[in-house]
Amino acid sequence: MIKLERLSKIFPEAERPAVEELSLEVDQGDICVFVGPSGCGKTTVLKMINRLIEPTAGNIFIEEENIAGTDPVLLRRKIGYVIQQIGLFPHRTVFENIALVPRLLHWSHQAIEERVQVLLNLIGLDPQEVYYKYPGQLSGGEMQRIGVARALAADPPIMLMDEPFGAVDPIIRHHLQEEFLRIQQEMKKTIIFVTHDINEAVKMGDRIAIMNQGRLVQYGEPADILARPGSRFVAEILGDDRTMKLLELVRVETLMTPLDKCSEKQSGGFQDAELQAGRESVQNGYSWLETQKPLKAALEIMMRNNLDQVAVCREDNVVGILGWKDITSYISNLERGGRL
Amino acid sequence: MLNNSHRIVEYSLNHLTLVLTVTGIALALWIPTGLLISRYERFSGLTMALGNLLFCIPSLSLFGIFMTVPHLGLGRRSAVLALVLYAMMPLVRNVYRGIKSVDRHVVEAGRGMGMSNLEILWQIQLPLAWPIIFAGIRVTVVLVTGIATIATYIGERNLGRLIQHGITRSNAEMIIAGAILVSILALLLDYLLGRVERRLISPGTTQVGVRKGQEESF
Repeated sequence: MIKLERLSKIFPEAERPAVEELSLEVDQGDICVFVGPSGCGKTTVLKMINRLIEPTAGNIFIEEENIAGTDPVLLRRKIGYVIQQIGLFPHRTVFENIALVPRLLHWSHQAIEERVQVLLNLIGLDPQEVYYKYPGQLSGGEMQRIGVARALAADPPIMLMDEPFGAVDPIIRHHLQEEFLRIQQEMKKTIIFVTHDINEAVKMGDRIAIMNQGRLVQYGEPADILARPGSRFVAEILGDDRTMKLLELVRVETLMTPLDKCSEKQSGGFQDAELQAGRESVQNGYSWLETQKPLKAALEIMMRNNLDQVAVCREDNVVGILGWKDITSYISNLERGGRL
Repeated sequence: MLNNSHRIVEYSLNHLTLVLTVTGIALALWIPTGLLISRYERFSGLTMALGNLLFCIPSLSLFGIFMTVPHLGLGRRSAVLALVLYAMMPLVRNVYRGIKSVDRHVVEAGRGMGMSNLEILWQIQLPLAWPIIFAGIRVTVVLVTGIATIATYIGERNLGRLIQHGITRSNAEMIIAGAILVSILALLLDYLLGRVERRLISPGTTQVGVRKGQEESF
């Protein structure tokens, strides 16, 4: 757990504090995304956590320990760090780059070798292919992956990521995000993630901290913030399509009516609870999609096939039904302040 | 020429030992100086101005001035001191420039992952600054080899003496012989340093090295 307590940073000769009285907690295993316009102080917050910047006032606790009393060099070896510019060492091979922190920690050579192999496989690079290459021989996406692998090398419980996917093109970025979320599902690191891209924040964050001019303006789960922005500033950051973003976030299974609770009339088309899954088709006035899909996909199918409801399937079996009305009432309920 | 061969060998050896002594002292002195001013930026302007100033003093007069100082006098001490001061500008400047040329994001990544200042210096800054620092070392060695000829006027018995005698006797062959020998010495030292450089610089930091590495990997 990371706890920030009335954290402030005033740089000398600055007009206003870079960070002002910021307090929040990040739970174990969560990704907390700081998002806001440039100069809002999000990177400053991140760098105070590994003491690259010392706070002017306030405290930071990692697992109940005030980091002000720790040796910064030793502290940083326990915290993974990824930056937008990656900062791979150009004079070191891929292996040496990833091995950096384990070497600083005096791991045995064999342990380091094994760890590098595991990490390269984890990030989807062929060890045979890249082991002895220099960063200058890699593509942007490969370098970003190596940067992430390097941060993960000594298996730190905490990761700080400053726009880690900012330097690659949108398609690669999308891949890297997906890949990272997949890795995170297994790793369950506590992650502080900084971005200026609200879409990335919504996608990556278990929680989002929106900052403006050094202050924390809203902190919460993405769906909560999307449904109920606390101020005009937040609404503007979220954009005109915040409801659509919300639809992307919620899975159909959370909103569907399970088949056994459906009325006779609703489930009329599925008496035998069987459907030809595996292809998009319309049968008895229904189309279908899987439980894991976002609400947005359900809307897409309804609109394209001019339907009012869709069947929800798990492994080729229909398990529930989702109607247009379910979605609209869910959203209006959320905006009125209801829980998810 | 032939009956002078033992003298030429003596001059060459004297020349070489002077250059090596100067280079050794200059490296020990000016590389740390360059590193210090790259760390304590506020001294950098003054230090490099001093280096430039020293470099601008005509070598003949600098040798002459030291010659008159007690405990320096005629000979090697004055010669070494003057040449070490000449070496300040190219060495300090290139070390400073080399360290400053290192991508600050690479340094930040290193610091952020828990490298100490010394580890950052040894493992990141110096290796990445090597090509520029080494260029400075090579320039310095060639420079010192050339200027060392002037030290003949304060009693150094080196290849400069061939040139000096050639001038006083209007003997063009002697001047040319001296000049050629000095050039050969300079080129030889530069070549040897080039060999050393190739071993010290990571293939990752040079485009050529990277491309070569790529060919090998296919």
